[in-house]
Amino acid sequence: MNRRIRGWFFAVLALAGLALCLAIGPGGFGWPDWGSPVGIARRERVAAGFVVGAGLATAGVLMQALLRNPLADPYVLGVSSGAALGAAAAIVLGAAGFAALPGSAFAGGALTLLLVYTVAAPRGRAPSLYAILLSGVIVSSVFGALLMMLISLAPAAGLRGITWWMLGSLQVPSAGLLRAAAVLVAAGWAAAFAFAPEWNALTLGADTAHNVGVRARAAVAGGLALATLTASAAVALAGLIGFVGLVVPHGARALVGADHRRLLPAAALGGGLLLTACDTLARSVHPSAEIPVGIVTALLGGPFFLYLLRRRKGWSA
Amino acid sequence: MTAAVETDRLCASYGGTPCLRDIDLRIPEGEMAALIGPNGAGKSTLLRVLTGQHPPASGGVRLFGRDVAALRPSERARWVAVAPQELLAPMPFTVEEIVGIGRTARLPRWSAPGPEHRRAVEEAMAWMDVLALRTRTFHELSGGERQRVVIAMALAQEPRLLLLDEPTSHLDVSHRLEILRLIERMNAERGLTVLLTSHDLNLAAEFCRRLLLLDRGRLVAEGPPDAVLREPLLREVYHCALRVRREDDGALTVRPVRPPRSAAPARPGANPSPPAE
Amino acid sequence: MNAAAPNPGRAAARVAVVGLCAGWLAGCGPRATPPATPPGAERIVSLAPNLTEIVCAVGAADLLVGRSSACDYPPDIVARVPVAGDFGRPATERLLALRPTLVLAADLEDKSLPEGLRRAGIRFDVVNCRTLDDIPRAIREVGRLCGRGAEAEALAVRIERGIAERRAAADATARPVVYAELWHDPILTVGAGSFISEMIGLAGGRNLGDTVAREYFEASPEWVLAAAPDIILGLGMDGAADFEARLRARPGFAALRAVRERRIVTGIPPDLLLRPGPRVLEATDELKRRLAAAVERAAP
Repeated sequence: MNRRIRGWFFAVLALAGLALCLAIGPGGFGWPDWGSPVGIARRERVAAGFVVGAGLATAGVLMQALLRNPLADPYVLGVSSGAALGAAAAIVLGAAGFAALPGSAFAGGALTLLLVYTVAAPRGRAPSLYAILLSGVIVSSVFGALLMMLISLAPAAGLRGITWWMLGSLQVPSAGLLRAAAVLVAAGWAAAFAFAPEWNALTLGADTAHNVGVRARAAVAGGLALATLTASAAVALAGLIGFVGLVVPHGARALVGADHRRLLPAAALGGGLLLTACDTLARSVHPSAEIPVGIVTALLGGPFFLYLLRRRKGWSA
Repeated sequence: MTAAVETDRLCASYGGTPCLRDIDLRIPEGEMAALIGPNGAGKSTLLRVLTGQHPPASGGVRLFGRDVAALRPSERARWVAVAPQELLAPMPFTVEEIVGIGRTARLPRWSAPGPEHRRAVEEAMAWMDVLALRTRTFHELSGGERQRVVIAMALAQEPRLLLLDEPTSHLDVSHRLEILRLIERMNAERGLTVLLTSHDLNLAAEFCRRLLLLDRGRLVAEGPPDAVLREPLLREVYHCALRVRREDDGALTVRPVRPPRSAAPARPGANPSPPAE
Repeated sequence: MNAAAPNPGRAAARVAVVGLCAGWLAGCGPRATPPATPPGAERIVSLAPNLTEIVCAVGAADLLVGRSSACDYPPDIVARVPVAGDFGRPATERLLALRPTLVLAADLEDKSLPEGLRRAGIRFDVVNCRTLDDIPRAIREVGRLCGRGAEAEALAVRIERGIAERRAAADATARPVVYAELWHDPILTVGAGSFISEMIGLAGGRNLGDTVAREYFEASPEWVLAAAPDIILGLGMDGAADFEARLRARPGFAALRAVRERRIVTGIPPDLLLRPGPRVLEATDELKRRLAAAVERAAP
């Protein structure tokens, strides 16, 4: 099947899948009254799943292109540790207001990228990819240690909160936060889509990109910023959900190819669908309790990724 | 007439070490030229300076009359294309997509690409005879096929000047000939100015009308092959004895000369005296 | 004794073996029996807040020489009695420095502590007090251990009667369904195995989470919304002030009848409501009063 046709077919399938998720809940199968409490909760939940999934997948696509590495995920440069640290600090300091946690998580993620980039840049010149990756690993470790320290200081209830947050949860504190995250993810995705030719060129290396007319330094910095924007918005809203950012770009590539003009829409749709489906399972499998969505994405994502690896069509690595 | 490439006392360095010294060269438009010289002479550096990737320490570089540093990247990419020695493509792009990446500077940002882009890509693939491979993934291809795709990507830019960095070093003899014939055709039929670097002095002499010999960052000779390929000069530059002969069909060949078997083996880098003729 | 010159290596080995055996034997054998302490000379350390309250309630407050950092009632002991560690995580050196004769704990993470105390000659007792019916039993036991048997008995009987009375009263009336929220992110509620569930029952309500047999669990928001509870109880561990605002902001909750009609109860001090201890009757009455007031607020 032609890639374009596959792409459209997938889009239809994804929308159908989302509609299906809207019909499933802990109480059973069926559309709720959309104005009732359950209806409102469910549609906001599905919307949150879509926004976060799309944000993580977009960030994953960008990271894999910029770092020229199919094993990169949105968290590889320390966005996760930075956001977790921000969130943990908010919990431990007892910051008031329900925007405090997402706000500090977002700030943490964004500031981490700045730190990683600055640490990697030798005397103001553009940092090499190797330096960026190494810097990300170092910053991640340091932040991880700080996080452990904060966790040990946290009050008992806050401790459980941090642990769950690190597993990821799509219970958004308010519709306003969901809208804010949605705007950030949409803006980030749109900007990424506009520069799709740049990401295509950058996967071939900074030299080749330069030769075909791309400002490589600016494009790498800009791409990292966009990836951090969408990833931080997703993490701020829903905590650290793993696998989506790593696996969905691969699945999308297998479906529509590596050209970012097709890859970005497919990945966003795919990420939104995958996370919403996993969350539907997480919130509906038991009549009154929930399991952390991060567990479901890991349990489903892991084997799926193994399957993709076995196909390994077209990778040079 | 404006030269395609003109440098004016060009100097460049890596870190603090100078690697190009006082290069004055002029390549007219429509020329097919080769940059030759030993390893480390500065050939690749010169190419990088010509595309604006490496800033010169001093001196000027002009492409078609315009200072390279003053050109916007998209402008420059419409004039100069580079076919690198090796392309590492970690993502599973098809041949057509890779060639399409060459169009990046010419794609409209905010609207869908028009039919001229598709046509340019197809034409580039046709020139390099890779149309049959268009849906194959780049990494599945053989070395010779990959090289043709890389050159097609450069051609898709519709440049006026094509730079090729060692386009034949990984290829066997028949593929080398094939590539150089294709490039020669483009130069002849489309007026594309070509500058390639090569270790293969024979093929460079065969296909290029102008040779530029670099040695330790300096341009020591520039001109037609028979003016540049002179035994004393080559011996000095390559630190070994080379024999230059004109064959019956007029081709110039360069061949290393081994010392006679009875003599003691020479130290590497020493200049053995040429055997008596 | 051997007249030959002793081999130094062998002598060292013998000393080592004998030394090891002596050390091992010293560890074995009957435990040092703690000498019987004359009444009034007891030095009690309590490592659980509810046990501390019981110790004070039976009149043994003057015997208290150490507490956990979570023990905050009665208020006067906070300044007077030093801290010997956190709830469930005692600091062993500080504990021993207080020279206690008796250590009371509810539940210990560090299971090696009891061994260490016994070897030092200190009595160690775990007094479990987790459910309503545990409370009178725990009071009696603490009373026995502290030598305040009579006071303990009186208190235990009063509480037993009080519990029975309130149970009867609760059974007679219609029970509003109460959704009790322990934590907000993710939402955490209490199940049938919890003390809070019993308290809600005693105060005349019915805990929504009783369908689940666990002590507490991460609740599904849709399930809470579909169940449409009559009253929402904020258990105050996360700061009562903006509980209502947070509840309203949560998707779907603003449309709940209980939220629209403001049948929300917050602000009951957690140390009163969540602690199975001697103040259980006051706690129940306070909760009952607040639940009744919330029901009254139902729109006419």
